[in-house]
Amino acid sequence: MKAPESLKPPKWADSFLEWFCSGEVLETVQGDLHELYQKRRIKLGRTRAALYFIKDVFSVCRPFAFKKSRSTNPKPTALLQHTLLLAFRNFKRHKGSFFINLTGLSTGLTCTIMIYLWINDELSIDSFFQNQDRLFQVMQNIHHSNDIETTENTPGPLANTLAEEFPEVAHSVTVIPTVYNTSKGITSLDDVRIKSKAQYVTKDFFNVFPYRLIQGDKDQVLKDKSAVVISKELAVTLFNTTENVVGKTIEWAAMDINKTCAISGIFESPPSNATNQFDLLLSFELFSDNRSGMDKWDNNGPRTYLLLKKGASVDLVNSKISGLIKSKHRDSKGTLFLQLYSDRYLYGKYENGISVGGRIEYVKLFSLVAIFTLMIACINFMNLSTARASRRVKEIGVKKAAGAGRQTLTLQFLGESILISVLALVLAVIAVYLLLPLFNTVTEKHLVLSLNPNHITVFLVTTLITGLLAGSYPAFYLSKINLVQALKGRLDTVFGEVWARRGLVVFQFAISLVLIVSVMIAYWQIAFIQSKNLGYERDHVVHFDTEKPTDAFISELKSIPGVLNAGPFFHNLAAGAGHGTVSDIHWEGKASDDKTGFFNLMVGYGLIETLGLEITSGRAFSKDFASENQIIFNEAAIKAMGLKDPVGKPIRRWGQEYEIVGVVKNFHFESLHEKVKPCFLFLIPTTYMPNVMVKIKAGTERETLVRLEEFFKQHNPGLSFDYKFLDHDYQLQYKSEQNIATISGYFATIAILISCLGLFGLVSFTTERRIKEIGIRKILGCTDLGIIYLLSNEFTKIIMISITIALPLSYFITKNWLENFEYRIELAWWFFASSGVAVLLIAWATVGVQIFKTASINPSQSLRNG
Amino acid sequence: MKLGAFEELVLLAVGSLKDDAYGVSIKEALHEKTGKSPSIGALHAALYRLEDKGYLASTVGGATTERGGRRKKYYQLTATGRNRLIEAHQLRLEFSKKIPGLNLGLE
Repeated sequence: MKAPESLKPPKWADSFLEWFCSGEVLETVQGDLHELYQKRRIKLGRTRAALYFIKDVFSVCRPFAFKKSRSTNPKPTALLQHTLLLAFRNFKRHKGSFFINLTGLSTGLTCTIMIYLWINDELSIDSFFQNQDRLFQVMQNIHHSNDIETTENTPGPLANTLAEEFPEVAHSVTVIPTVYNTSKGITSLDDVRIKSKAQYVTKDFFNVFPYRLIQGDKDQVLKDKSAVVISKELAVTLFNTTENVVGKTIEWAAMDINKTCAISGIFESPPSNATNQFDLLLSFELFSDNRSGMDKWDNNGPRTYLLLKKGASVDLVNSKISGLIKSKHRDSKGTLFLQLYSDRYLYGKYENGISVGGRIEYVKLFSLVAIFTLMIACINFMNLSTARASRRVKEIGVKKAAGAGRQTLTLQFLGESILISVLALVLAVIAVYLLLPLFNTVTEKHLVLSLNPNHITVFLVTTLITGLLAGSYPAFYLSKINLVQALKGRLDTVFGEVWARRGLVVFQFAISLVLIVSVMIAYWQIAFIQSKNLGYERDHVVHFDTEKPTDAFISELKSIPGVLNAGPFFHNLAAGAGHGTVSDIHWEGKASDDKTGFFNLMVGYGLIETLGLEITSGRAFSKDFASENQIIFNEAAIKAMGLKDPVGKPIRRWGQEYEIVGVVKNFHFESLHEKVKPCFLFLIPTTYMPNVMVKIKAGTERETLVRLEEFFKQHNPGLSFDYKFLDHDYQLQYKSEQNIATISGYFATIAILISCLGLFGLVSFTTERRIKEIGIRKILGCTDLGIIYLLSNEFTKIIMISITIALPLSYFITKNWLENFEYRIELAWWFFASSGVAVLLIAWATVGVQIFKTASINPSQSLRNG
Repeated sequence: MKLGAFEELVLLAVGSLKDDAYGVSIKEALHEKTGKSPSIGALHAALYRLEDKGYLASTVGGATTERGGRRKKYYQLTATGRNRLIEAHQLRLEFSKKIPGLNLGLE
């Protein structure tokens, strides 16, 4: 027995027929096909009948049978034209909400475009080398007893050892970076003297970093100890040309190094998106000849970079080199690892030896801000469109009655929102163009709005997404309106829909509030840092570089009227100034496994007094003391050493005997991100210290600076007097935080403005709708105050909810951020309360006028017509 | 409006089938007279076209089990369709009269 199923024609062909055939045609055609199949089955058998059936199904597959084929649109652009026309009419009719939507969206897009340009620039920094995926910096983790310190400083012999002993390493180079020369050196050619930045590098520099050489061979240029490779700019400044420069000699003077160098090559200056900017390259040997310890494994100073061979595994190399220093120097606490050179900028922050991001956090933060600002603007659009649905309900009704499907309506509303976002994009591009110079000043970047295909694609895609996002909910909501109700001109607001609208407002304000609180706290923290007592006096202290200062120079300087004190310093007090650490320090009772690293600060007589460092016991450096082997520790160091009564005790450093003459109170010689670390101060000859600090009498800065300049010019003919105020230096250290805070401040303001704009639109619309209700209430005896309460009640609640959500959220965010700082403000409840109240006040101010106006309308007016 | 050769045949078939002209019966009638069987698709396309032109009218009815309960669409010749057939026939006659020695056996 055959199952009845087998009496039927092939199912798939039947389904296919049902799929393409319109309903009307389907019934008769399918009927005919089935009838034919049954007849053929009896006559020809099942298989052949089935084959005929399939053939027949395909024969039906032609235009007359297709769905909707009988109502093809004679003019395909008609719908588009219609949508555009209606959109413009709607914009014209509802100027208020059109204006709010356009302003909101264009502001949102402006922010997004600017942030996009900023992020794009951040990502491009230090990633311009072709071999960047094989170019690494060797980093060192120093394992202290309770934490791990990550540093760029590595032993001098490391680079050579890496290249010789590890087959994976193609080339490696030792670099003394420009920041090590706390001041710029001086390049001179005959009478021309130019301050310039130099790096001392080993011979493979151009093999590791493929900067383009205009003149010279990359393997040869740095072979000679007295060779110098100069940048194109420097060549042009010195010689007015880059031709025939090779072979000429220039004088180089920096700190204790003086050398006549022969130019062996010219390189293309690093691009503006390189963090490492330098004018000339000198031989590392030149540097190491003048500095002891550069060939020692227990001294960490130079930086090491390497290029891996193609296909070499980073993990494998990492595991091989990790213990390298220990194998050369038993007492070392350092392990090595590789970091991509191009990651240095964005992922430069380490905690306990593990990468914890860095500037990438800001990139992420700003991406979020951009998305949120755009979302807030989109929400305005959604809320206003759905709230105003009742205005368009008849239009929708007529369209539906005339046969417009849901799809058509959805497309129409999406078209409208995309149209408005394209208009917003045009405005935004103009705004970005106008605002970019300002933005560049704040961010200290050189962003340009170039309309290259990449940018245009990103802008258009963003606009399209914005349009779709903004239009999706209105389109969905408006197109589902019931036909009969729509034609009656009535629209029952569904409970859920009102809640959706409220929820969106809550979301908007919550985001705005989180931004505001975070920015305020960032400002407070920065103000706190700026005013923090650092343990040294930074007001009225200027510092400048001079060529080979002498003791006579310093004492003459001190005699200038208005100068209170002066002293030479090897370093400056900026973060990352490269104070090296020394662990080869021995004291009475030092445990054999104690490997505490001490920062060494090289100073001259008078510096402690000039900076106003407080001596807690003992005394400052003094010339009256016979030996120059005096040493001063800070309190942190004394604590780390566990010394009691330290003054007068002997210390051995690099095999030399010193005597502790004093203890200085902890002062911040590094960033406030860090705790004050152990350090010691010791004397070196004045001539080695080009950085002179001068304390000026308050109120006499201008006259004194003029005198200082004259004095400087006498001793440094031909050089310009570049001085810096120490407090200004200090502000610069926190520049990146300050910049971020300023930019975020702008964006937070914009976010709250857009939110208020939306709230204004929404409230003015609802009050307008309730104007008759208010009229009746007033006739029945409601006071103006009662009306105001009635109207403000609803949105006050909404704002309160968003405050309740936002405050805990912002608490966690800001607490997290503040943990980056070792010295930080305490979060108090009133920070949050005041921000909440501020937002509430702003919201009230936004809608207040509208509500007052509505409440004071004479009922006879509002009830007059209809 | 033009009337194609196949369309003319379909009109004739519908007319000859009187009250029983629907897809399958028309197809069978054509097969019987011409020896060739049009595909169901081609036939229905022509039927829809002729209905659009106003030469055919249709009524719906008559479901059978072998059609899976689907109704048939019956076609009738309209007055315009009838006239159109006459016109076509006369055109043919006029031409054939002018052909010497061609006797169609009419008149």
